[in-house]
Amino acid sequence: MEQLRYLLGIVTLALVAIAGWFIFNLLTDDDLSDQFHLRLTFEDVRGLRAGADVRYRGVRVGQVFEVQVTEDGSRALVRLVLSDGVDHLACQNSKFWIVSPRFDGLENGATGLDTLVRDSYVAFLTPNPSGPRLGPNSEVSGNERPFRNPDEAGLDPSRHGDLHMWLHAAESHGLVVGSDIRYRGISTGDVRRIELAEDGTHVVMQLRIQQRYRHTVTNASSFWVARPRLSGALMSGIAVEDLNALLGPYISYHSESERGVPVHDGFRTVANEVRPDIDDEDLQVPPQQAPVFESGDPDSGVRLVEVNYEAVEEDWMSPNDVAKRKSTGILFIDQAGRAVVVTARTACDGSYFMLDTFGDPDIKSETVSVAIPGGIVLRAGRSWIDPGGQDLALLVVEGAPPDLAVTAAENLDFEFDDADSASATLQKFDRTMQTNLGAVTDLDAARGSVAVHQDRAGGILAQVNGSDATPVIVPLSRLPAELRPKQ
Amino acid sequence: MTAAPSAPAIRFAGSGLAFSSAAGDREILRDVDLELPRGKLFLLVGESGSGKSTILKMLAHLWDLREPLPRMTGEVFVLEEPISRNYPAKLRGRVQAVLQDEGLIDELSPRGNVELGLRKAGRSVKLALGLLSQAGLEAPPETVAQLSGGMRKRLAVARALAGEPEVLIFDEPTAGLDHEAAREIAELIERTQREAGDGRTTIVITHDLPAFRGLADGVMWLDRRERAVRLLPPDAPLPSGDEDPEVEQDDAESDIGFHGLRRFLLSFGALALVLFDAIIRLPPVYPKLVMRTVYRYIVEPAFFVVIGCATVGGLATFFALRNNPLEGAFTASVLTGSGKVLMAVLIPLLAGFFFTARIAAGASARLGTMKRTSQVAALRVMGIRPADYLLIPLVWASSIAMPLATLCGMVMTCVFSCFAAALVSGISPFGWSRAFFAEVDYTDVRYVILKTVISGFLVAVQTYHLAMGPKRSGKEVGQAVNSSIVLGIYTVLVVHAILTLIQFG
Repeated sequence: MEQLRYLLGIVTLALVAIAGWFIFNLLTDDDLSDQFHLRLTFEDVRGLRAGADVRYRGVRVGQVFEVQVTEDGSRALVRLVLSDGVDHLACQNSKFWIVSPRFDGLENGATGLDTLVRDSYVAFLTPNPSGPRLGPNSEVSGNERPFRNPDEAGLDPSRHGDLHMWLHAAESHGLVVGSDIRYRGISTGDVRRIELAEDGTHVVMQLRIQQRYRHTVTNASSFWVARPRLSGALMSGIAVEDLNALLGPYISYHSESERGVPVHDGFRTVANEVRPDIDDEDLQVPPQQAPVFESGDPDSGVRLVEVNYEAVEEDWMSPNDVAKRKSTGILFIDQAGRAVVVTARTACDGSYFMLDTFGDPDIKSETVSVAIPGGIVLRAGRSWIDPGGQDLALLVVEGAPPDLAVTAAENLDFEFDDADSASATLQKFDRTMQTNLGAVTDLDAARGSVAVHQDRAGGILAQVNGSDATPVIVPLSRLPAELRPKQ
Repeated sequence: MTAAPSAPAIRFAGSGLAFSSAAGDREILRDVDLELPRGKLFLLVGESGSGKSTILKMLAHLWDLREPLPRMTGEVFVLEEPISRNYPAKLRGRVQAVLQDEGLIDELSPRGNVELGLRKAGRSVKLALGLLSQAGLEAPPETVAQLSGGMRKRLAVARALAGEPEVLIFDEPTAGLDHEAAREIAELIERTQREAGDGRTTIVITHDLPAFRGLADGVMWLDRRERAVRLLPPDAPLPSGDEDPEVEQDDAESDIGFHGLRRFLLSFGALALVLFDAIIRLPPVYPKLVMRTVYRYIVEPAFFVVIGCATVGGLATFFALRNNPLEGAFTASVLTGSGKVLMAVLIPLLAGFFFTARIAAGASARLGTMKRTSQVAALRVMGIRPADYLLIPLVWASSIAMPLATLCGMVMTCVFSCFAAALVSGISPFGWSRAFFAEVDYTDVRYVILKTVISGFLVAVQTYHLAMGPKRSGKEVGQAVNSSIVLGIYTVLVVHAILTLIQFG
């Protein structure tokens, strides 16, 4: 019995030794050898404790390893460890912040309320697309405030061609991420980010203007925060402005016709404190932007479209150059099933034809759209340019309806040669010009016209290259096989 | 040092011996003059209660220091050394006694008992078998518990002979034996005396005169009425007994009034002496015994302490996390608070309780039984200080084992706390460790070690003190065990409370 008691004691001590080794390893496992550690610095960790959670999208993916003050005492240092298999979530554009109870005013409300009844924790989020992955033991400066990903704030995703600009205002007046931006009462975009200026003197807001409305913003536009506001005196009567902003403030702007030039991405301007006086008496009906015309010669089978191009080229020494071109193109379906338009490169690529005194043109913004016969206007983007430098390009049409009438493959002639050019007739998108190459006098008016030979389109009226405006017919045979229609 | 052969072994010169108690003075000897020559075997006879055992205690200095000492007048010389005022240290080992209940160390084997005596006398332990054989124990059993009554007496004789005493006193060596066995023991005593010659004087306290018929050189008759000792020829008829109603009283019955206060003060004085011994005699005289005791005190309570601490730690964490305002809330904060209070305060305290309950009870029962069965007295007559043999190993073992047991308990507390935290909140071991030890630092560990070392030391001293008190019955042994546990726990509590206040106050 006594031996059994001793045996029990020895077994117990052996178990204690194993347990002690386990605990010792837990406590001394800070050599970063097999754990993915990160070092975050904050101005204030708001009572964060070692052992608190690290969460990604609310899922616990690690623990706070250590909380201490940096050697110089200027920041709080938080060391955290991520669980195995999730370290790829931490990227260089990841945002780390401490979730604790916060009240950010009536506009943004309270956040981190869950930490009223639980410990503060570290949250992080990696916007899409993610940046390069962080290495082990990287040091990152944490956000002092909760990070809200604009792409995930219930907003429409940004699209190619949207205008992103910055608006500086004295205060936010209750604007939040996602607040509307209106031009003459029409919603043209939304607020993507609101933050305090570094020096704290004002608010900086990032605005997103949809691509189709970006021309409404010029460097002469006036911005203001639309909100209910009383003005005037008792004796003269009280005016109530922007009453429709009662449900939520929004940003409004106004651009006078013929004033200013379109702005580029990153444009910065200052908001007016109040709504400026707008004289609308000069309003006139603008010319029709998307022409409605016949669908073309039904017998020819060649579907022509109007290609509209607008670009702003920034000049350092002079006002920006603005190029607007209206050309013709051929609409067909390529091998990949995409609705594409072949046209002259000088009809859709400012960098090709716009000249700059000091080297290559600096294109700040450009828009390409395609007007389909029948009045539909679709956005388009360059998909291919002639690698040989000739004046030929291919546009891809976005959002083309499935029943769109396109040029059949048998109506395109990829064997078209110089001999055919002499006898071919040129057709513009509105079919107002039917002539031949020798009769072309106004290249800008006829640019992109299609050379038709024996009822088949074989080439595009273009110029020799971006700088030589001599009219030539570029044969469609220069298109690579994969961009041609299916036979 | 051996006295001159012509000098008497024991000499009473106008000696008087009396006790004072609440019931009145009780005189044992009055103005006795007597000389006992060397190299003889004497029988000390007298009626029950006449004071025969008291004379043995006087000659071998076996007074219990917790009891009021008798008044001695005149002088008594043992081997020409006066013993009335201070018992000379040089007599330790030279004067030995075989007590009525033998005082065999039951933790040792029969051979081990003899070897203990040999070792103390500075003789080779190889002589043990010869001494056992000489005493008629050619093949002793493995343990003392297996010995019969006669064998116990023989073993006691063999152990006494190991010290080669010059004065050997037997207290009722034939008590409880049948006539044949009693005669064998008497012959053994006579033979050993004869073999020693003038080098030894033997005194046998007995009622069994027939067993020693023809073996003794003289009879010391303790005259109860005259309070005198008369030396008679061996075959002389003994005087008839008187009718003195005065009988030896149980000392416990006089534990009232002034005498009760004396006992109380003596007890405190003894505690101070124990504390003094525990410090002064800390360098171990028996290092192997100390090491064995340390090992035993580490291993024996390990399971009990570890299971207790682990259970407390696991449950504390479980319910701390479970009973939050919202289930699963404030995991890190709760773990941090739990870790601090468990590691710095609660578990060391509970481990101290568990250890004390387990060790103090066992040690007190063991030492109390040794005291009750005259094993402690036997050590003293062998010239072994009980402090060296019993106290110091206990002090070392308790002072080392309590910190170790506490640390073991803390380790298993951590493991069970980790399990509980994972069970309630799903936290990983790594996260648990970060939160649990967030506020625990090396100062806590240092204080835990300090608390447990001090507690272990004081529990050992206190346990020894309580166990070494007078043990006239099994009930008193039980009371000592109970007191050791209760007072030990109080001691642990007070030490932890004071040091915790110092640390955090």
